Amino acid sequence: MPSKTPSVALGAAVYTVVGVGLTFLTFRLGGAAMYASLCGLCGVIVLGPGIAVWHYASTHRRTLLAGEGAGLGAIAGLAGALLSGIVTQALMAVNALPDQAEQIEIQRANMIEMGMDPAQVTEALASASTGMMSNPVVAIALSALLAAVIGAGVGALAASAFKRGEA
Amino acid sequence: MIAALVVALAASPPLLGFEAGALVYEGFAPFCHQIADRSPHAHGVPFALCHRCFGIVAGLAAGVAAGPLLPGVLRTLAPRHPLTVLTLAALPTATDWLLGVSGVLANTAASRLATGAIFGVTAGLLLAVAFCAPRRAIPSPHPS
Repeated sequence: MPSKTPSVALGAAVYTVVGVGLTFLTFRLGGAAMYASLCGLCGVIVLGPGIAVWHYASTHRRTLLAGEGAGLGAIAGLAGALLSGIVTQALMAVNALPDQAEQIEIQRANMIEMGMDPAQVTEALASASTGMMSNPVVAIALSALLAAVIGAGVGALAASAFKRGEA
Repeated sequence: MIAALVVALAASPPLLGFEAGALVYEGFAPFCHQIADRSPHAHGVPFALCHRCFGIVAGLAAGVAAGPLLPGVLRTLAPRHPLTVLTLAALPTATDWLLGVSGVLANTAASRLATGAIFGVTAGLLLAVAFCAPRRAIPSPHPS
């Protein structure tokens, strides 16, 4: 069976570039555009594993079984979430991205600019302020685990969507 | 089963303590904006996913669970073009999001949850189709 490593690497790279790019854009944009960008984050978990399965099926002219697609999607999601989490933390460390406290302040300023009153803003940012308190290593590990689970579902769907040649 | 666990985890922060809840929020943070006034609440505490994402995940779990119980629906849904079916199922939630973000029509918690669930249930049923399909196509016998 041909190696899946290039497909996993491509999926993880797309996950990281698009995910970190959207995070970067989110804090450069204001108002409604900022929220449009934030909403795009959930597309990243579909894109990475989906591209990994599409690349493998297209390159090797094979139709993957649902289980094979799930495995490939899970590994691409896991690798993408780990890489994306590490790159994001590194960019925060060199001040290329705002740290979590600064991110919350940017969101607060945007919400006030959009006309929300201070009580609404405090409530809206409650979970973000709570999340800030946890350990980033544990948080990245949990995100990677969730990305693997969601990536498995996406991979199985992608396997039935991208049929190429014999199973 | 795994999809149901993700739903339970996303809905768990109101039941967890401060530190465990914080961890769950951070775990889901890369996949969802988690803005509290756009998320389901229990006891005044928001879930770890927004209405739309929670609708998608809950719908997915329901679709996967219901799939094997509905063989007729599976046969109808066993599509030659699953990508087209998924795209059509995503149209309501995409339209709801687009109308809201462009300021044309403000969406509501119910519209976000329901349109997300439409996409989730469809994806769940397709997932059930994918896993219930025979491992290899059986060639039909040629008439002699």
